[in-house]
Amino acid sequence: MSFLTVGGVTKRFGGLSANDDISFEVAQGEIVGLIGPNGAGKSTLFSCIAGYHPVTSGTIDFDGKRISGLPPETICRAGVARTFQIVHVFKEMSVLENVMVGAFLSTSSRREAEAHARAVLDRVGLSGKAEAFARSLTVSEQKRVQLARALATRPKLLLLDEVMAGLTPQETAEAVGLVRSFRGDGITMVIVEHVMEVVMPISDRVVVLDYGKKIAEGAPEEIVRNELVIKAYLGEKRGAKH
Amino acid sequence: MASGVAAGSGFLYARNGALLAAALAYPFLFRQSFPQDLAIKIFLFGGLASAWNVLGGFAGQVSLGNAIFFGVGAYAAAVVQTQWGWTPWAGMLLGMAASAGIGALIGYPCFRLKGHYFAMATLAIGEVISTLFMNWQWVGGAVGVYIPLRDDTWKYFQFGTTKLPYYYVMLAFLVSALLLSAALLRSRMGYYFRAIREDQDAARSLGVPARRYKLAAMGISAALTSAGGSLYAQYVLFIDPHSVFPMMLSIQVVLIAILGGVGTLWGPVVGAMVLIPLSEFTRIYIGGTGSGLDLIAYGLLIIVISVIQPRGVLGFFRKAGAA
Ligand SMILES: Nc1ncnc2c1ncn2[C@@H]1O[C@H](COP(=O)(O)OP(=O)(O)O)[C@@H](O)[C@H]1O
Ligand SMILES: [Mg+2]
Repeated sequence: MSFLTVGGVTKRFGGLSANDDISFEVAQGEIVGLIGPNGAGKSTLFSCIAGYHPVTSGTIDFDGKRISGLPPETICRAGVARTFQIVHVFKEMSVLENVMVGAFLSTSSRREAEAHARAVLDRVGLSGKAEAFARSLTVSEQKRVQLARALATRPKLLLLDEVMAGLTPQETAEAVGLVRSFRGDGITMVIVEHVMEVVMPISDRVVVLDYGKKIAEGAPEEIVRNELVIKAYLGEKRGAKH
Repeated sequence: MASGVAAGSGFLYARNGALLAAALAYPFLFRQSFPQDLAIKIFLFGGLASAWNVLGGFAGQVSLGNAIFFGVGAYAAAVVQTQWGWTPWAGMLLGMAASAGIGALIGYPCFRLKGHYFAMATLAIGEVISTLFMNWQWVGGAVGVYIPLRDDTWKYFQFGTTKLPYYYVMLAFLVSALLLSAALLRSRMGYYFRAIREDQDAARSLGVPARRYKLAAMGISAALTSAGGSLYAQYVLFIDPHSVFPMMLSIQVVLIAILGGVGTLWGPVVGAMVLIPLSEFTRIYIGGTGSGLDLIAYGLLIIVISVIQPRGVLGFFRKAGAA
């Protein structure tokens, strides 16, 4: 049974179709990779699912409920949490306080929120920075704060937008281990990564976007051999050289 | 902040206790009218700036219209006496409820506006409401309202020329504003306010219903400001639209909070302790009313402090990077 259903979603910015009639499903407990060259429309699709952009047409259903048209806070309360590709941390608050804001979703007690936030920080390896201002952290640490904050809302579906971009190979390996461990908590995930090599080993299934359209969907082994996908990525590399 | 509280709590209790004891003893050390009047104004403006700080400092919504609520509170206290013979205390409660309602009415459409536009909208609405009161004959129109003199009692909150009761009530007003602010900062609501201030999109992605919380901040700020207006009306016993709806008051509470340290608990108090004496002295020594020289001196000092320490006076006492 489908947990998240993206049904023919189109999102236009003026004349540009950032998402063009995209449909796919995600089952409960699955990890789905969402890939595609820069500007393919991955972040836009996340913003549509999370309620930041009203869809131009199409529908999004989550856990048996229509969520397209709902505001972001309601969609979060329904169990969908996201991270932002461009970091949006609460700069003048401590790392702990950032995560407590997420933890307050399930409790109004400060003590409980703090305990939960500390546990989450421990898990993502940020305990040592708990008292630091979020603005004093590096970008990749701030990305981890966003991850911790999202996790603290106890989501059922987690949308991760390039959380591993800019990490060293060792940090990437740690992050992959971390993401895998969330599955043990029963969290379903859609993971956007620009770099195919990162997302392939952790994904059960991969959806590929190019110029706003879904061009392929399937198991990672199939995707790496898919003509259209190879062309899309080669096209980008050629483009980048100029 | 969350973990530092336990370690320093003994010190904090001692410091706050000492401050309160000093405030309680002050009128016995300074018996003349001027220093007592000065302290009363510091308490009033410290409380008003704290009220503004809940909305502007914690939740990050800069209002330039808080005089609206001050005026509504002042009129509520006065008019329930002249029209219905109630006590001003009942008027104060009525004014707080009315102000919270007006705040919500203003906030509902205006919170759609971003940044400066919200500030401009509140400024404009403030002027409109002031004009409305000018033309509203039932509340005295442009002439204003004289509060009928009564025997000096707590029931009618009138004490003739005795300053002591006013002093303690204004102190209680400031202390209430601080206790409320401190409680807010430690509550979920306070965390949500700050999250909205820092990044509303991120806050909403974590389930924070930003609009509702901004309305709550507006309501709290408005009700508290209104209470200050009621107390002020009883202190001066005469009000008119010019004295209780001045744009200058809206701006002054913002300056006080910013100067002391915006978004902090003690910033508004520190700001009032610097700016109120400054404005009183510049008025006495530099300018009579109307010359505007007092305002220029006042403005210069604010510029100097903001250049040296953009985080406000409290910023001087804060180590870089400490929460
Ligand atoms: N808010 C916006 N307004 C206008 N155009 C946008 C906006 N957000 C994204 N776009 C455009 O939509 C396209 C898809 O962008 P995006 O979803 O960020 O791609 P990706 O995340 O796959 O790199 C790009 O051409 C981008 O310029
Ligand atoms: Mg993107």
